[in-house]
Amino acid sequence: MIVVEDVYKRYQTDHGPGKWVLQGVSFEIPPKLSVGLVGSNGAGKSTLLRLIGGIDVPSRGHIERNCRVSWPMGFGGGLQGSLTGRQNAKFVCRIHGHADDILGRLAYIEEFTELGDAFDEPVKTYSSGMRSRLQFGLSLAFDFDVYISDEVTAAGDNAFREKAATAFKKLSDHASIIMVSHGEGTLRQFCTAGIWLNEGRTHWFDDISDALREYKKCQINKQLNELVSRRMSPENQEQFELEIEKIKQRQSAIEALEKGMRGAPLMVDHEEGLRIMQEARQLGMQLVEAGQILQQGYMLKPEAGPLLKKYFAAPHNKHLELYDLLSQCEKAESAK
Amino acid sequence: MSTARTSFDITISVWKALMLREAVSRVSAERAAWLWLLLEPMVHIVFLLFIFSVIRMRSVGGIDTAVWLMVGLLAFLMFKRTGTQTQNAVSSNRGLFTYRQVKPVDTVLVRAVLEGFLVMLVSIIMFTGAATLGIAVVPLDPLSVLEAFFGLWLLGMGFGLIASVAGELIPEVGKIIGFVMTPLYFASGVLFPITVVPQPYRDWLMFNPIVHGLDAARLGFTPYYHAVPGLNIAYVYGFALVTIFLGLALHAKYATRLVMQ
Repeated sequence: MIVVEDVYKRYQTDHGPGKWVLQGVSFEIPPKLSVGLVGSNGAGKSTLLRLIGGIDVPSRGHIERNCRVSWPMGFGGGLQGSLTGRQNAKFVCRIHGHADDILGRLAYIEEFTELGDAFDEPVKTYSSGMRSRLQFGLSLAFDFDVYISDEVTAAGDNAFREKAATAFKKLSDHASIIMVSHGEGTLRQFCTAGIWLNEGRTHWFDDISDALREYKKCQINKQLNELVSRRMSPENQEQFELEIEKIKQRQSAIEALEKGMRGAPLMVDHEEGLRIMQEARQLGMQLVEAGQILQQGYMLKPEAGPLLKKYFAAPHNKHLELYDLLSQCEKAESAK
Repeated sequence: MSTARTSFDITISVWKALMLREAVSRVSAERAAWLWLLLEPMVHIVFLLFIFSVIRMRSVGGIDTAVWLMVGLLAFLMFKRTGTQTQNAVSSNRGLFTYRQVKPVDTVLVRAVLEGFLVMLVSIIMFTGAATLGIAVVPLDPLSVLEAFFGLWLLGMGFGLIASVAGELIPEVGKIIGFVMTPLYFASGVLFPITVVPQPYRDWLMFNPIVHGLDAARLGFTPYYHAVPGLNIAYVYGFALVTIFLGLALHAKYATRLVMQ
Protein backbone atom coordinates (compact mmCIF):
# COMPACT_ATOMS: atom_id res chain seq x y z
CA MET A 1 0.00 0.00 0.00
CA ILE A 2 1.42 3.35 -1.03
CA VAL A 3 -0.27 6.49 0.18
CA VAL A 4 0.52 9.82 -1.44
CA GLU A 5 -1.02 12.65 0.51
CA ASP A 6 -1.33 16.19 -0.76
CA VAL A 7 2.15 16.22 -2.23
CA TYR A 8 3.65 19.41 -3.64
CA LYS A 9 7.01 19.48 -5.34
CA ARG A 10 9.21 22.07 -6.90
CA TYR A 11 12.92 22.10 -7.61
CA GLN A 12 15.52 24.59 -6.62
CA THR A 13 16.97 26.27 -9.68
CA ASP A 14 19.90 28.64 -10.08
CA HIS A 15 17.44 31.50 -9.91
CA GLY A 16 15.60 30.58 -6.75
CA PRO A 17 12.68 28.17 -6.43
CA GLY A 18 11.35 26.85 -9.74
CA LYS A 19 7.74 26.44 -10.71
CA TRP A 20 5.56 23.81 -9.08
CA VAL A 21 5.86 20.45 -10.77
CA LEU A 22 3.28 18.74 -8.57
CA GLN A 23 0.49 20.67 -6.93
CA GLY A 24 -1.48 18.86 -4.32
CA VAL A 25 -1.28 15.28 -5.54
CA SER A 26 -3.15 12.64 -3.54
CA PHE A 27 -3.84 9.00 -4.29
CA GLU A 28 -3.54 5.55 -2.84
CA ILE A 29 -2.15 2.55 -4.62
CA PRO A 30 -3.57 -0.64 -3.12
CA PRO A 31 -1.33 -3.71 -2.85
CA LYS A 32 -0.88 -5.84 -5.97
CA LEU A 33 -2.30 -3.23 -8.30
CA SER A 34 -0.07 -2.27 -11.18
CA VAL A 35 -0.30 1.33 -12.23
CA GLY A 36 0.90 3.17 -15.32
CA LEU A 37 1.70 6.87 -15.26
CA VAL A 38 0.85 8.82 -18.39
CA GLY A 39 1.34 12.47 -19.21
CA SER A 40 3.20 14.70 -21.62
CA ASN A 41 6.94 15.39 -21.37
CA GLY A 42 7.74 17.40 -18.28
CA ALA A 43 4.41 16.69 -16.63
CA GLY A 44 6.22 15.34 -13.58
CA LYS A 45 6.02 11.59 -14.13
CA SER A 46 9.64 10.91 -13.28
CA THR A 47 9.48 13.31 -10.35
CA LEU A 48 6.52 11.42 -8.93
CA LEU A 49 8.34 8.11 -9.37
CA ARG A 50 11.41 9.45 -7.61
CA LEU A 51 9.24 10.63 -4.73
CA ILE A 52 7.52 7.26 -4.46
CA GLY A 53 10.90 5.54 -4.68
CA GLY A 54 12.11 7.61 -1.74
CA ILE A 55 15.15 9.16 -3.40
CA ASP A 56 13.71 12.63 -3.24
CA VAL A 57 11.41 14.28 -0.75
CA PRO A 58 8.28 16.32 -1.43
CA SER A 59 8.38 20.06 -0.79
CA ARG A 60 5.09 19.67 1.06
CA GLY A 61 2.85 16.77 1.96
CA HIS A 62 4.02 13.25 2.60
CA ILE A 63 4.29 9.79 1.17
CA GLU A 64 3.86 6.52 3.02
CA ARG A 65 5.39 3.29 1.85
CA ASN A 66 4.18 0.35 3.87
CA CYS A 67 5.90 -2.15 1.67
CA ARG A 68 9.22 -2.95 0.06
CA VAL A 69 9.66 -0.62 -2.87
CA SER A 70 12.40 -1.01 -5.47
CA TRP A 71 14.61 1.82 -6.61
CA PRO A 72 13.35 3.61 -9.71
CA MET A 73 14.90 1.86 -12.66
CA GLY A 74 15.60 4.50 -15.23
CA PHE A 75 18.03 5.73 -17.81
CA GLY A 76 21.57 5.81 -16.56
CA GLY A 77 20.76 5.84 -12.88
CA GLY A 78 22.28 3.32 -10.55
CA LEU A 79 24.90 1.89 -12.87
CA GLN A 80 28.53 2.97 -12.81
CA GLY A 81 29.92 3.02 -16.32
CA SER A 82 33.51 2.16 -15.50
CA LEU A 83 32.52 -1.03 -13.67
CA THR A 84 31.30 -4.22 -15.30
CA GLY A 85 27.74 -5.47 -15.19
CA ARG A 86 28.76 -8.08 -12.66
CA GLN A 87 30.45 -5.55 -10.39
CA ASN A 88 27.40 -3.32 -10.52
CA ALA A 89 25.18 -6.29 -9.73
CA LYS A 90 27.36 -7.20 -6.77
CA PHE A 91 27.08 -3.70 -5.44
CA VAL A 92 23.30 -3.72 -5.61
CA CYS A 93 23.15 -7.13 -3.91
CA ARG A 94 25.37 -5.88 -1.11
CA ILE A 95 23.48 -2.70 -0.34
CA HIS A 96 20.29 -4.71 -0.16
CA GLY A 97 21.87 -6.92 2.46
CA HIS A 98 22.40 -10.00 0.34
CA ALA A 99 26.11 -10.46 0.79
CA ASP A 100 25.59 -14.10 1.84
CA ASP A 101 23.66 -15.43 -1.16
CA ILE A 102 25.32 -13.12 -3.66
CA LEU A 103 26.41 -15.92 -6.02
CA GLY A 104 22.91 -17.27 -6.50
CA ARG A 105 21.56 -13.86 -7.29
CA LEU A 106 24.40 -13.07 -9.66
CA ALA A 107 23.72 -16.32 -11.49
CA TYR A 108 20.06 -15.40 -11.78
CA ILE A 109 20.86 -11.92 -13.10
CA GLU A 110 23.41 -13.25 -15.57
CA GLU A 111 20.94 -15.83 -16.84
CA PHE A 112 17.98 -13.49 -17.00
CA THR A 113 19.68 -10.57 -18.72
CA GLU A 114 21.23 -12.81 -21.42
CA LEU A 115 24.17 -10.44 -21.61
CA GLY A 116 26.64 -13.29 -22.11
CA ASP A 117 30.23 -12.16 -22.15
CA ALA A 118 29.14 -8.54 -21.96
CA PHE A 119 28.21 -9.15 -18.32
CA ASP A 120 31.92 -8.86 -17.56
CA GLU A 121 32.46 -5.79 -19.72
CA PRO A 122 32.22 -2.20 -18.40
CA VAL A 123 28.67 -0.90 -18.44
CA LYS A 124 29.71 2.14 -20.46
CA THR A 125 30.17 -0.14 -23.47
CA TYR A 126 26.53 -1.29 -23.28
CA SER A 127 23.79 -0.24 -25.65
CA SER A 128 20.69 1.29 -24.10
CA GLY A 129 18.83 -1.96 -24.58
CA MET A 130 21.53 -3.87 -22.72
CA ARG A 131 21.49 -1.36 -19.92
CA SER A 132 17.76 -1.62 -19.46
CA ARG A 133 17.99 -5.39 -19.50
CA LEU A 134 20.56 -5.24 -16.75
CA GLN A 135 18.48 -2.82 -14.71
CA PHE A 136 15.34 -4.89 -15.07
CA GLY A 137 17.16 -8.13 -14.28
CA LEU A 138 18.78 -6.51 -11.26
CA SER A 139 15.49 -5.46 -9.74
CA LEU A 140 13.83 -8.82 -10.44
CA ALA A 141 16.58 -10.52 -8.46
CA PHE A 142 15.07 -9.08 -5.29
CA ASP A 143 11.67 -9.62 -3.73
CA PHE A 144 10.05 -6.25 -3.77
CA ASP A 145 6.36 -5.64 -3.27
CA VAL A 146 6.41 -2.78 -5.72
CA TYR A 147 8.76 -2.35 -8.66
CA ILE A 148 9.25 1.14 -10.02
CA SER A 149 10.21 1.48 -13.66
CA ASP A 150 10.94 4.72 -15.46
CA GLU A 151 10.93 3.90 -19.18
CA VAL A 152 13.11 0.87 -18.62
CA THR A 153 11.09 -1.97 -20.03
CA ALA A 154 10.29 -0.08 -23.20
CA ALA A 155 13.93 0.08 -24.24
CA GLY A 156 14.50 -3.64 -24.55
CA ASP A 157 13.66 -5.52 -27.72
CA ASN A 158 10.40 -7.41 -28.15
CA ALA A 159 11.69 -10.80 -27.12
CA PHE A 160 13.13 -9.42 -23.94
CA ARG A 161 9.98 -7.48 -23.20
CA GLU A 162 8.01 -10.69 -23.48
CA LYS A 163 10.42 -12.40 -21.14
CA ALA A 164 10.25 -9.56 -18.65
CA ALA A 165 6.47 -9.60 -18.78
CA THR A 166 6.40 -13.35 -18.17
CA ALA A 167 8.84 -13.09 -15.29
CA PHE A 168 6.80 -10.28 -13.92
CA LYS A 169 3.50 -12.14 -14.22
CA LYS A 170 5.01 -14.86 -12.06
CA LEU A 171 5.56 -12.26 -9.37
CA SER A 172 2.20 -10.65 -9.77
CA ASP A 173 0.43 -12.65 -7.08
CA HIS A 174 2.42 -10.73 -4.50
CA ALA A 175 4.01 -7.82 -6.35
CA SER A 176 3.02 -4.94 -8.57
CA ILE A 177 4.67 -2.36 -10.76
CA ILE A 178 4.42 1.37 -11.06
CA MET A 179 5.71 2.48 -14.40
CA VAL A 180 6.22 5.35 -16.77
CA SER A 181 6.38 4.51 -20.43
CA HIS A 182 5.66 6.14 -23.72
CA GLY A 183 4.92 2.76 -25.23
CA GLU A 184 1.21 2.12 -25.01
CA GLY A 185 1.72 -1.57 -25.53
CA THR A 186 4.08 -1.77 -22.58
CA LEU A 187 1.64 0.06 -20.37
CA ARG A 188 -1.27 -2.18 -21.34
CA GLN A 189 0.83 -5.28 -20.96
CA PHE A 190 1.94 -4.51 -17.42
CA CYS A 191 -0.64 -2.21 -15.86
CA THR A 192 -4.24 -2.41 -14.80
CA ALA A 193 -4.92 1.06 -13.45
CA GLY A 194 -3.63 4.36 -14.73
CA ILE A 195 -2.75 7.78 -13.42
CA TRP A 196 -2.88 10.72 -15.78
CA LEU A 197 -0.64 13.61 -14.79
CA ASN A 198 -1.67 16.99 -16.10
CA GLU A 199 -0.69 20.46 -14.98
CA GLY A 200 0.64 19.32 -11.65
CA ARG A 201 -2.39 17.23 -10.75
CA THR A 202 -3.15 13.55 -10.96
CA HIS A 203 -6.30 11.85 -12.19
CA TRP A 204 -6.89 8.27 -11.20
CA PHE A 205 -8.41 5.73 -13.61
CA ASP A 206 -9.24 2.17 -12.68
CA ASP A 207 -8.54 1.19 -16.25
CA ILE A 208 -5.28 2.15 -17.94
CA SER A 209 -7.12 2.54 -21.27
CA ASP A 210 -9.25 5.33 -19.84
CA ALA A 211 -6.14 7.11 -18.63
CA LEU A 212 -4.55 6.81 -22.06
CA ARG A 213 -7.68 8.10 -23.76
CA GLU A 214 -7.94 11.12 -21.51
CA TYR A 215 -4.29 11.84 -22.07
CA LYS A 216 -4.63 11.66 -25.83
CA LYS A 217 -7.73 13.78 -25.90
CA CYS A 218 -5.93 16.40 -23.91
CA GLN A 219 -3.00 16.27 -26.31
CA ILE A 220 -5.27 16.77 -29.30
CA ASN A 221 -7.03 19.67 -27.64
CA LYS A 222 -3.69 21.24 -26.90
CA GLN A 223 -2.70 20.95 -30.54
CA LEU A 224 -5.99 22.48 -31.61
CA ASN A 225 -5.59 25.37 -29.21
CA GLU A 226 -2.10 25.99 -30.39
CA LEU A 227 -3.32 26.13 -33.97
CA VAL A 228 -6.12 28.51 -33.10
CA SER A 229 -3.65 30.85 -31.47
CA ARG A 230 -1.49 30.75 -34.60
CA ARG A 231 -4.42 31.52 -36.87
CA MET A 232 -4.04 35.28 -36.42
CA SER A 233 -1.92 35.91 -39.52
CA PRO A 234 -3.96 35.55 -42.75
CA GLU A 235 -1.17 33.95 -44.79
CA ASN A 236 -1.33 30.97 -42.45
CA GLN A 237 -5.02 30.53 -43.15
CA GLU A 238 -4.74 27.74 -45.69
CA GLN A 239 -2.21 25.73 -43.79
CA PHE A 240 -4.25 26.20 -40.67
CA GLU A 241 -7.36 24.71 -42.25
CA LEU A 242 -5.35 21.74 -43.40
CA GLU A 243 -3.87 21.05 -40.04
CA ILE A 244 -7.19 21.38 -38.27
CA GLU A 245 -8.62 18.85 -40.68
CA LYS A 246 -5.79 16.42 -39.99
CA ILE A 247 -6.24 16.63 -36.27
CA LYS A 248 -9.98 16.21 -36.51
CA GLN A 249 -9.51 13.10 -38.59
CA ARG A 250 -7.11 11.79 -36.10
CA GLN A 251 -9.57 12.29 -33.31
CA SER A 252 -12.32 10.34 -35.02
CA ALA A 253 -9.98 7.51 -35.82
CA ILE A 254 -8.85 7.41 -32.26
CA GLU A 255 -12.38 7.42 -30.97
CA ALA A 256 -13.38 4.56 -33.22
CA LEU A 257 -10.42 2.52 -32.18
CA GLU A 258 -10.93 3.25 -28.56
CA LYS A 259 -14.16 1.33 -28.72
CA GLY A 260 -12.04 -1.69 -29.36
CA MET A 261 -9.48 -0.79 -26.77
CA ARG A 262 -11.98 -0.51 -24.00
CA GLY A 263 -12.42 -4.23 -24.13
CA ALA A 264 -16.08 -4.42 -25.09
CA PRO A 265 -16.55 -6.47 -28.25
CA LEU A 266 -16.34 -4.03 -31.10
CA MET A 267 -19.20 -4.46 -33.51
CA VAL A 268 -18.59 -2.80 -36.80
CA ASP A 269 -20.46 -2.67 -40.04
CA HIS A 270 -18.47 -2.57 -43.19
CA GLU A 271 -18.80 1.18 -43.64
CA GLU A 272 -17.42 1.99 -40.26
CA GLY A 273 -14.71 -0.60 -40.68
CA LEU A 274 -13.65 0.94 -43.94
CA ARG A 275 -13.64 4.37 -42.42
CA ILE A 276 -11.41 3.23 -39.59
CA MET A 277 -9.01 1.63 -42.00
CA GLN A 278 -8.82 4.64 -44.24
CA GLU A 279 -8.42 7.19 -41.54
CA ALA A 280 -5.80 5.26 -39.76
CA ARG A 281 -3.85 4.72 -42.95
CA GLN A 282 -4.07 8.39 -43.83
CA LEU A 283 -2.58 9.13 -40.49
CA GLY A 284 0.18 6.71 -41.28
CA MET A 285 -0.12 5.28 -37.81
CA GLN A 286 -0.80 1.68 -38.69
CA LEU A 287 -4.14 1.85 -36.98
CA VAL A 288 -3.07 3.76 -33.92
CA GLU A 289 -0.27 1.71 -32.50
CA ALA A 290 -2.18 -1.19 -33.94
CA GLY A 291 0.48 -3.63 -32.96
CA GLN A 292 -0.38 -3.25 -29.35
CA ILE A 293 -4.15 -3.22 -29.54
CA LEU A 294 -4.32 -6.69 -31.01
CA GLN A 295 -2.46 -8.13 -28.09
CA GLN A 296 -5.35 -6.98 -25.97
CA GLY A 297 -7.73 -8.63 -28.37
CA TYR A 298 -8.24 -5.90 -30.88
CA MET A 299 -4.96 -5.22 -32.52
CA LEU A 300 -4.88 -4.90 -36.25
CA LYS A 301 -1.66 -5.91 -37.84
CA PRO A 302 -0.61 -3.56 -40.61
CA GLU A 303 -0.54 -6.33 -43.17
CA ALA A 304 -4.04 -7.30 -42.08
CA GLY A 305 -5.25 -3.98 -43.41
CA PRO A 306 -5.81 -4.86 -47.05
CA LEU A 307 -7.35 -8.20 -46.09
CA LEU A 308 -9.71 -6.54 -43.71
CA LYS A 309 -10.69 -4.15 -46.40
CA LYS A 310 -11.66 -7.06 -48.63
CA TYR A 311 -13.84 -8.52 -45.94
CA PHE A 312 -15.55 -5.28 -45.19
CA ALA A 313 -16.16 -4.75 -48.84
CA ALA A 314 -18.01 -8.03 -49.15
CA PRO A 315 -21.70 -7.24 -48.52
CA HIS A 316 -22.48 -10.37 -46.46
CA ASN A 317 -20.18 -9.29 -43.64
CA LYS A 318 -22.54 -6.72 -42.30
CA HIS A 319 -21.88 -7.17 -38.60
CA LEU A 320 -18.92 -8.96 -37.24
CA GLU A 321 -16.86 -8.85 -34.18
CA LEU A 322 -13.59 -7.28 -35.20
CA TYR A 323 -11.49 -9.85 -33.44
CA ASP A 324 -13.20 -12.79 -35.07
CA LEU A 325 -12.84 -11.05 -38.34
CA LEU A 326 -9.16 -10.61 -37.82
CA SER A 327 -8.54 -14.19 -36.90
CA GLN A 328 -10.44 -15.22 -40.00
CA CYS A 329 -8.21 -12.92 -41.98
CA GLU A 330 -5.11 -14.37 -40.53
CA LYS A 331 -6.27 -17.94 -41.04
CA ALA A 332 -7.06 -17.17 -44.62
CA GLU A 333 -3.66 -15.60 -45.05
CA SER A 334 -1.73 -18.48 -43.53
CA ALA A 335 -3.74 -21.03 -45.51
CA LYS A 336 -2.48 -19.50 -48.73
CA MET B 1 14.90 -9.10 3.24
CA SER B 2 12.09 -10.99 4.94
CA THR B 3 12.48 -8.98 8.12
CA ALA B 4 13.01 -5.26 8.00
CA ARG B 5 16.63 -4.28 8.44
CA THR B 6 17.54 -1.64 10.96
CA SER B 7 19.02 1.63 9.78
CA PHE B 8 22.30 0.56 11.30
CA ASP B 9 22.38 -2.72 9.35
CA ILE B 10 21.58 -0.88 6.15
CA THR B 11 24.33 1.68 6.70
CA ILE B 12 26.88 -1.02 7.44
CA SER B 13 26.02 -2.98 4.31
CA VAL B 14 26.10 0.23 2.25
CA TRP B 15 29.55 1.08 3.62
CA LYS B 16 30.86 -2.38 2.85
CA ALA B 17 29.49 -2.32 -0.68
CA LEU B 18 30.71 1.22 -1.33
CA MET B 19 34.15 0.38 0.02
CA LEU B 20 34.61 -2.54 -2.35
CA ARG B 21 33.25 -0.54 -5.26
CA GLU B 22 35.41 2.49 -4.57
CA ALA B 23 38.47 0.33 -4.12
CA VAL B 24 37.90 -1.40 -7.45
CA SER B 25 37.34 1.81 -9.35
CA ARG B 26 40.25 3.55 -7.62
CA VAL B 27 42.83 0.96 -8.59
CA SER B 28 41.38 0.05 -11.97
CA ALA B 29 40.21 3.45 -13.19
CA GLU B 30 42.96 3.70 -15.77
CA ARG B 31 45.80 1.54 -16.95
CA ALA B 32 48.04 0.66 -13.98
CA ALA B 33 46.20 3.12 -11.76
CA TRP B 34 47.68 1.42 -8.70
CA LEU B 35 51.17 2.16 -10.01
CA TRP B 36 50.46 5.88 -10.26
CA LEU B 37 49.23 5.92 -6.68
CA LEU B 38 52.73 4.95 -5.70
CA LEU B 39 54.74 6.62 -8.42
CA GLU B 40 53.42 10.13 -7.97
CA PRO B 41 54.68 10.71 -4.40
CA MET B 42 57.86 8.81 -5.20
CA VAL B 43 58.77 11.04 -8.13
CA HIS B 44 57.81 14.05 -6.06
CA ILE B 45 60.21 13.09 -3.28
CA VAL B 46 63.06 12.09 -5.56
CA PHE B 47 62.76 15.42 -7.34
CA LEU B 48 62.81 17.39 -4.09
CA LEU B 49 65.73 15.34 -2.80
CA PHE B 50 67.59 16.16 -5.98
CA ILE B 51 67.00 19.89 -5.47
CA PHE B 52 68.05 19.69 -1.83
CA SER B 53 71.23 17.84 -2.68
CA VAL B 54 72.03 20.44 -5.33
CA ILE B 55 71.82 23.18 -2.71
CA ARG B 56 73.78 20.88 -0.41
CA MET B 57 71.38 20.77 2.41
CA ARG B 58 72.26 17.63 4.37
CA SER B 59 70.02 18.09 7.35
CA VAL B 60 66.97 20.07 8.35
CA GLY B 61 66.26 20.82 11.99
CA GLY B 62 68.93 18.37 13.02
CA ILE B 63 67.63 15.38 11.02
CA ASP B 64 68.46 13.86 7.67
CA THR B 65 66.91 15.80 4.78
CA ALA B 66 65.61 12.64 3.18
CA VAL B 67 63.71 11.65 6.29
CA TRP B 68 62.52 15.18 6.89
CA LEU B 69 61.18 15.49 3.34
CA MET B 70 59.69 12.06 3.14
CA VAL B 71 57.80 12.18 6.40
CA GLY B 72 56.59 15.70 5.74
CA LEU B 73 55.39 14.98 2.24
CA LEU B 74 53.65 11.72 3.13
CA ALA B 75 51.97 13.38 6.09
CA PHE B 76 50.84 16.20 3.84
CA LEU B 77 49.60 13.66 1.29
CA MET B 78 47.52 12.08 4.02
CA PHE B 79 45.64 15.33 4.32
CA LYS B 80 45.64 16.32 0.67
CA ARG B 81 44.58 13.05 -0.91
CA THR B 82 41.91 12.42 1.68
CA GLY B 83 40.65 15.95 1.25
CA THR B 84 40.54 16.03 -2.55
CA GLN B 85 39.14 12.53 -2.92
CA THR B 86 36.33 13.09 -0.43
CA GLN B 87 35.60 16.49 -1.90
CA ASN B 88 34.53 14.83 -5.15
CA ALA B 89 32.82 11.86 -3.53
CA VAL B 90 29.29 13.22 -3.86
CA SER B 91 29.55 14.47 -7.43
CA SER B 92 31.20 11.34 -8.78
CA ASN B 93 28.76 8.98 -7.08
CA ARG B 94 25.65 10.85 -8.13
CA GLY B 95 24.28 7.85 -9.97
CA LEU B 96 24.21 5.80 -6.79
CA PHE B 97 21.67 7.96 -5.06
CA THR B 98 19.13 6.11 -7.18
CA TYR B 99 19.27 3.62 -4.33
CA ARG B 100 17.68 5.34 -1.38
CA GLN B 101 19.87 3.31 0.98
CA VAL B 102 22.91 5.31 -0.18
CA LYS B 103 23.25 8.76 1.36
CA PRO B 104 25.78 11.36 0.16
CA VAL B 105 27.61 11.31 3.48
CA ASP B 106 28.21 7.56 3.08
CA THR B 107 30.23 8.11 -0.07
CA VAL B 108 32.36 10.79 1.63
CA LEU B 109 33.12 8.70 4.72
CA VAL B 110 33.92 5.59 2.72
CA ARG B 111 36.26 7.47 0.41
CA ALA B 112 38.04 8.97 3.40
CA VAL B 113 38.65 5.53 4.89
CA LEU B 114 39.82 4.09 1.59
CA GLU B 115 42.16 6.99 0.86
CA GLY B 116 43.59 6.92 4.38
CA PHE B 117 44.28 3.25 3.92
CA LEU B 118 45.91 3.81 0.53
CA VAL B 119 48.19 6.58 1.80
CA MET B 120 49.17 4.40 4.75
CA LEU B 121 50.02 1.63 2.31
CA VAL B 122 52.01 3.96 0.07
CA SER B 123 53.86 5.32 3.11
CA ILE B 124 54.79 1.87 4.36
CA ILE B 125 56.02 0.83 0.93
CA MET B 126 58.10 3.99 0.58
CA PHE B 127 59.60 3.76 4.03
CA THR B 128 60.49 0.15 3.39
CA GLY B 129 62.02 1.15 0.09
CA ALA B 130 64.02 3.90 1.75
CA ALA B 131 65.22 1.51 4.46
CA THR B 132 66.63 -0.82 1.83
CA LEU B 133 68.54 2.16 0.45
CA GLY B 134 70.11 2.65 3.86
CA ILE B 135 68.15 5.70 4.98
CA ALA B 136 67.26 5.55 8.66
CA VAL B 137 63.51 5.63 8.52
CA VAL B 138 62.53 3.60 11.55
CA PRO B 139 60.35 5.82 13.72
CA LEU B 140 61.61 6.02 17.29
CA ASP B 141 58.17 6.87 18.60
CA PRO B 142 55.76 5.09 16.23
CA LEU B 143 52.67 5.95 18.27
CA SER B 144 53.29 9.68 17.91
CA VAL B 145 53.74 9.23 14.17
CA LEU B 146 50.44 7.37 13.94
CA GLU B 147 48.81 10.02 16.08
CA ALA B 148 50.00 12.75 13.73
CA PHE B 149 48.98 10.86 10.57
CA PHE B 150 45.60 10.05 12.05
CA GLY B 151 45.06 13.68 12.98
CA LEU B 152 45.89 14.77 9.42
CA TRP B 153 43.55 12.11 8.07
CA LEU B 154 40.75 13.48 10.26
CA LEU B 155 41.56 16.98 9.00
CA GLY B 156 41.31 15.76 5.42
CA MET B 157 37.99 14.12 6.13
CA GLY B 158 36.63 17.26 7.78
CA PHE B 159 37.80 19.33 4.85
CA GLY B 160 36.18 16.89 2.41
CA LEU B 161 32.90 16.75 4.32
CA ILE B 162 32.55 20.51 4.17
CA ALA B 163 33.90 20.92 0.64
CA SER B 164 31.66 18.18 -0.79
CA VAL B 165 28.53 19.97 0.38
CA ALA B 166 29.75 23.50 -0.34
CA GLY B 167 30.93 22.59 -3.83
CA GLU B 168 27.56 21.07 -4.68
CA LEU B 169 25.49 23.94 -3.30
CA ILE B 170 27.66 26.79 -4.56
CA PRO B 171 29.78 25.79 -7.58
CA GLU B 172 32.06 28.83 -7.14
CA VAL B 173 33.15 27.51 -3.76
CA GLY B 174 34.29 24.32 -5.48
CA LYS B 175 36.56 26.36 -7.72
CA ILE B 176 38.05 28.34 -4.85
CA ILE B 177 38.71 25.17 -2.88
CA GLY B 178 40.36 23.77 -6.00
CA PHE B 179 43.22 26.24 -5.90
CA VAL B 180 43.60 26.36 -2.14
CA MET B 181 45.71 23.18 -2.09
CA THR B 182 48.84 24.64 -3.68
CA PRO B 183 49.19 27.59 -1.25
CA LEU B 184 48.53 25.14 1.57
CA TYR B 185 51.39 23.01 0.32
CA PHE B 186 53.78 25.95 0.72
CA ALA B 187 52.28 27.18 3.98
CA SER B 188 52.45 23.79 5.68
CA GLY B 189 56.16 23.34 5.89
CA VAL B 190 56.63 20.59 3.32
CA LEU B 191 59.37 22.42 1.42
CA PHE B 192 61.01 24.48 4.14
CA PRO B 193 60.97 24.33 7.93
CA ILE B 194 58.51 26.75 9.45
CA THR B 195 61.16 27.70 12.00
CA VAL B 196 62.98 29.77 9.35
CA VAL B 197 59.96 32.06 8.95
CA PRO B 198 60.49 35.25 10.97
CA GLN B 199 57.99 36.49 13.51
CA PRO B 200 55.23 37.61 13.46
CA TYR B 201 54.56 35.66 10.24
CA ARG B 202 55.42 32.36 11.84
CA ASP B 203 52.65 32.79 14.38
CA TRP B 204 50.25 33.35 11.55
CA LEU B 205 51.36 30.15 9.84
CA MET B 206 50.87 28.33 13.12
CA PHE B 207 47.13 28.81 12.76
CA ASN B 208 47.35 26.23 9.99
CA PRO B 209 46.80 22.88 11.75
CA ILE B 210 48.68 21.00 9.01
CA VAL B 211 51.92 22.65 10.15
CA HIS B 212 51.43 21.09 13.57
CA GLY B 213 50.60 17.70 12.09
CA LEU B 214 53.65 17.62 9.85
CA ASP B 215 56.13 18.59 12.52
CA ALA B 216 54.54 16.23 15.03
CA ALA B 217 55.06 13.38 12.57
CA ARG B 218 58.73 14.33 12.11
CA LEU B 219 59.21 14.64 15.83
CA GLY B 220 57.76 11.16 16.25
CA PHE B 221 60.35 9.82 13.85
CA THR B 222 63.32 11.43 15.52
CA PRO B 223 62.70 12.89 18.99
CA TYR B 224 65.80 15.09 18.71
CA TYR B 225 64.28 16.98 15.73
CA HIS B 226 64.07 20.73 16.29
CA ALA B 227 60.35 21.03 15.86
CA VAL B 228 58.69 24.38 15.53
CA PRO B 229 58.07 26.03 18.93
CA GLY B 230 54.45 26.01 19.97
CA LEU B 231 53.81 22.62 18.36
CA ASN B 232 50.53 21.26 19.65
CA ILE B 233 49.01 18.03 18.39
CA ALA B 234 45.83 18.72 20.35
CA TYR B 235 45.27 21.71 18.08
CA VAL B 236 45.19 19.37 15.06
CA TYR B 237 42.60 17.17 16.69
CA GLY B 238 40.53 20.08 17.93
CA PHE B 239 40.54 21.65 14.49
CA ALA B 240 39.70 18.33 12.85
CA LEU B 241 36.81 17.59 15.17
CA VAL B 242 35.32 21.03 14.61
CA THR B 243 35.51 20.68 10.82
CA ILE B 244 34.12 17.14 10.94
CA PHE B 245 31.26 18.27 13.11
CA LEU B 246 30.57 21.17 10.77
CA GLY B 247 30.77 18.91 7.74
CA LEU B 248 28.42 16.33 9.22
CA ALA B 249 26.01 19.08 10.20
CA LEU B 250 26.06 20.42 6.64
CA HIS B 251 25.43 16.93 5.30
CA ALA B 252 22.55 16.42 7.71
CA LYS B 253 21.00 19.73 6.77
CA TYR B 254 21.42 19.49 3.02
CA ALA B 255 21.09 15.73 2.55
CA THR B 256 18.01 16.08 0.37
CA ARG B 257 19.37 19.02 -1.60
CA LEU B 258 22.43 16.97 -2.53
CA VAL B 259 20.35 14.11 -3.86
CA MET B 260 18.02 16.27 -5.95
CA GLN B 261 18.76 16.58 -9.63
